[in-house]
Amino acid sequence: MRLVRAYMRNRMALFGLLLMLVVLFLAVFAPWIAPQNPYDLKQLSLMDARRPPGTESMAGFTFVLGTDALGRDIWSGILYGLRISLTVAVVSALVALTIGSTLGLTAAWRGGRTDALIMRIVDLQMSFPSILVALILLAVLGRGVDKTIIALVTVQWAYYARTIRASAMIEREKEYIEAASCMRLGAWRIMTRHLLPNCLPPLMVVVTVQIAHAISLEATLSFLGIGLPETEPSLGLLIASGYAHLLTGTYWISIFPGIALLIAIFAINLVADHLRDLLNPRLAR
Amino acid sequence: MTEFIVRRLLQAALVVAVMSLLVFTGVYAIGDPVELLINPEADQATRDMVASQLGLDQPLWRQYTLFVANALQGDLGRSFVFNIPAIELILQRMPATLELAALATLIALVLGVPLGLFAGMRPYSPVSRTIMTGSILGFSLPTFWVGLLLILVFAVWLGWLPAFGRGKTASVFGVEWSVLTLDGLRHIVLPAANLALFKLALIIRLTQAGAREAASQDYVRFARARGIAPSRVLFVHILRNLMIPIVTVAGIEFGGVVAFAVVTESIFNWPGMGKLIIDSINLLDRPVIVAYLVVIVFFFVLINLLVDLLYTLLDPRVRLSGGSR
Amino acid sequence: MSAAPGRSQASSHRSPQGEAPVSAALLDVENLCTSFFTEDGEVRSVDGVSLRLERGEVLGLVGESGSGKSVMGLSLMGLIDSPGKIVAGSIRLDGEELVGAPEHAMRRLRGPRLGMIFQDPLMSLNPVLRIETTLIETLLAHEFIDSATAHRRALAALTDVGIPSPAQRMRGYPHEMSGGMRQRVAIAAALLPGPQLLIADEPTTALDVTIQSQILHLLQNLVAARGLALIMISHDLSVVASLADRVAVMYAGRIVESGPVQQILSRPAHPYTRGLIHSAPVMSEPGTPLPQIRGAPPSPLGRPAGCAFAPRCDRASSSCTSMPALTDLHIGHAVRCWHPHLEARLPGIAA
Repeated sequence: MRLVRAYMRNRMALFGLLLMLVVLFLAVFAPWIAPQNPYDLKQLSLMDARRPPGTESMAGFTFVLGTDALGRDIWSGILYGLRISLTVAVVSALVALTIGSTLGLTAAWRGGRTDALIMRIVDLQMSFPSILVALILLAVLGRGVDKTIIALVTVQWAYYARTIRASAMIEREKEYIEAASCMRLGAWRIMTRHLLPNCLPPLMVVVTVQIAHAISLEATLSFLGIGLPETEPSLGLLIASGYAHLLTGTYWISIFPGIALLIAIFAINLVADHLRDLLNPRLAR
Repeated sequence: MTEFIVRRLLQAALVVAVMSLLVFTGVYAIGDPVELLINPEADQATRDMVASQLGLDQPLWRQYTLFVANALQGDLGRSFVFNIPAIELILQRMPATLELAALATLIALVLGVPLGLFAGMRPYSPVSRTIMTGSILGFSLPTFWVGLLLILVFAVWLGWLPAFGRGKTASVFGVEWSVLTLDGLRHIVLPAANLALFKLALIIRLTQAGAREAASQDYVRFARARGIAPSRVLFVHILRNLMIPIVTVAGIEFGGVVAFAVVTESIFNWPGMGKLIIDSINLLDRPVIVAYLVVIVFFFVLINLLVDLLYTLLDPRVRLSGGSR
Repeated sequence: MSAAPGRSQASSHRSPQGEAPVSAALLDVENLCTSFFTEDGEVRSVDGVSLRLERGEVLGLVGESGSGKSVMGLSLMGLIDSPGKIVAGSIRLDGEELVGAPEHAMRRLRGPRLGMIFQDPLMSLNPVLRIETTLIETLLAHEFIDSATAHRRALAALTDVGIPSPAQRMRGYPHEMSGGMRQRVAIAAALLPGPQLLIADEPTTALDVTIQSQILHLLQNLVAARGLALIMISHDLSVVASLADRVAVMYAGRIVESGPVQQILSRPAHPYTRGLIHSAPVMSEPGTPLPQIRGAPPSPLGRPAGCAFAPRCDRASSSCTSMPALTDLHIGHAVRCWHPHLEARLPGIAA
């Protein structure tokens, strides 16, 4: 596709894509790559606690990035943490996508009062900053993976709804939709088989941006102690665990997971940014 | 014009009412604050006494109506933990958060607009490309992590600036502001910079996009065709048109900055509303949570209203068509 | 085309080394080439255009979108921005060379010597500035005068272009006026510094038909009153016909025909010009099918070698694979074609 070729032309964009794939790879294959499973208590030894990067471990491998207060290898922690962070972010994005798309498509298709109502709710939702909404929800619901995902979904769905509705409203006026409805195909079928595929380009951009946003938000919430529980240590929690040790110079516990987090988010944002530039018809002038 | 204001105020009141109901129901229906405040060994009688003292033995709807009645009188409940009225607690902490948010917004605007303008006017220069990639980095960095980094670099390694707390304050209009003292400034620099980063990145991008768009507009061409000096083209023609969306976004985002202060305040131990809400959530201090959320929602709606008004003032096209956007 | 000898557009006009050319022409463009360097390749919007304009003369520059006529206007003003560039040729305004001139020198010319108005006055007037600001800033950019004088002159300019109650209108904003009035304001602003040459890029296209003739009338009066030279860029021959002394037809970045307006209208030589005239609705009998030029103009990226119009031309032959030169048919009437029409056009509804 011309799109793919155009994308490949920009070196920054390629770099971002590469980075993103590396991160993905690390996250998926974490259990096989990590030298240690940091959550298997049998593998840990308190003798290894707070060792600086480069120290040799009891088990024979090197703590490339040091260890934390419980003797866990930071590198392994990062790998597993990436896994959790990415999973939560992607799952919430997909759920939000489904909900948002359904509502957006319905709003665009039905028009009139349904549309007005749905869009009102969307506007209301979007006028509050995401962190506040997440805070409120988690204050009410408590900690937990499912609750965090619910909070993330609530924060995101409105963006999808609005994007899909805008695209769908444009597409709806086009002739092929008229033709489809003349053939008396069911409304649902028209929406999913015909409208939706043509709304994909802006949606791709929104999905990518929202995933990056979700990762960042989840990390923030976990850091503050109201997101994921300790049994699912995402990068945010790792960073939080090192917070207290910062002032004593044991920087590696917080900094390295932070860098990993940064790289993941940055890569996704780079890709999203270039996708957006490419798909923007006006900039292509 | 007055019709517009009245309409918006009513809308705002409605939003606040709905939000308070949602929040109240959610917060009060789940969990048990009594557990927190008493000795786990205490017997049922003591629990009952505490519960009735806190008004928790009433049916939920009763609690809510009591709440609303009190709220309209300015009483939003008493903090379980501090035992002073929740609203008082929040108002005590508000100036700290406000000054932090204001300073952060100022930094973001003062730095962001010129950088964005430059990047927009010369889109192909390497400096511009760096600025733009830097802006992506800027909003990719999670605020809390930047805060940690800033503490590490400036407080631990370099020792130039203090890592925690708010500096000495000076009193103006009976309110304590720390930006007015040197010590206060030293303490506010890091948290404000931290909070500003995300906004800065956004403003750079917004300004750049706007400048780029404006530069290709016919009115810019026409101005150049009449021989208008480039500086005037930039400041009067481009910037004037640009400032409208920027100011409105900055205004609306101010609410976001106040919300995001939650993170910065937690890291830098800044005694503002944000830190209060996090502590309250962890301690299940419900009245404070509810009061905070009500105050914040109210605040937001107010900001939106002000921004709408500002917009009508700035854009003559809107102003003269009756103020309805 | 002026009757003076040696002034045909086909002949190369080389001046003696170092001396200014011996001509009284206001504007002398020679082999101008403006290209845009995009990611997809070089777009040669203006591909070797030469023309000459005398003081007080009106030249109509006609062509479809993509023909390069707007880029031509912008090139004359020096308003071509990256990724575009004037790559070759010369533009001489009263003997002064514009190509390669530094920006600050160009700025001194824009306004007092050269002016330009654009298609949509709603877009060319800054919506957040009052009318008087737009007018006065034009004056203050070039002269050191006090605001009272500037105000007076602005007021006079508005009256000149026929704006009723000018004093009130000055304080207003562009969106409060009708399209026709806005264009008048734009014309007033462009003419305030007193340029000798005005370039009008599709000035009536965005306006209602009734208003169009008003604006054309205004331009006609201004040309007569001030001895203004005017280059009227349009895709519509009928608009140009009422105003111009001479017409140049552009296609795919080149001039394919030029000559006095009556000549061009009655004896169009280039098949494209003929096609343009015949396809204008005013030219047809009601009820008869509207003739069209088949095909579409070539993409500016992939122009064929040889005559660019050949793929659409009924008279094309094997010789059309090489580019014809602009040659004179009669005095002042030049055409770029291997098979020009030599007969008069069949009269349709008279223009």
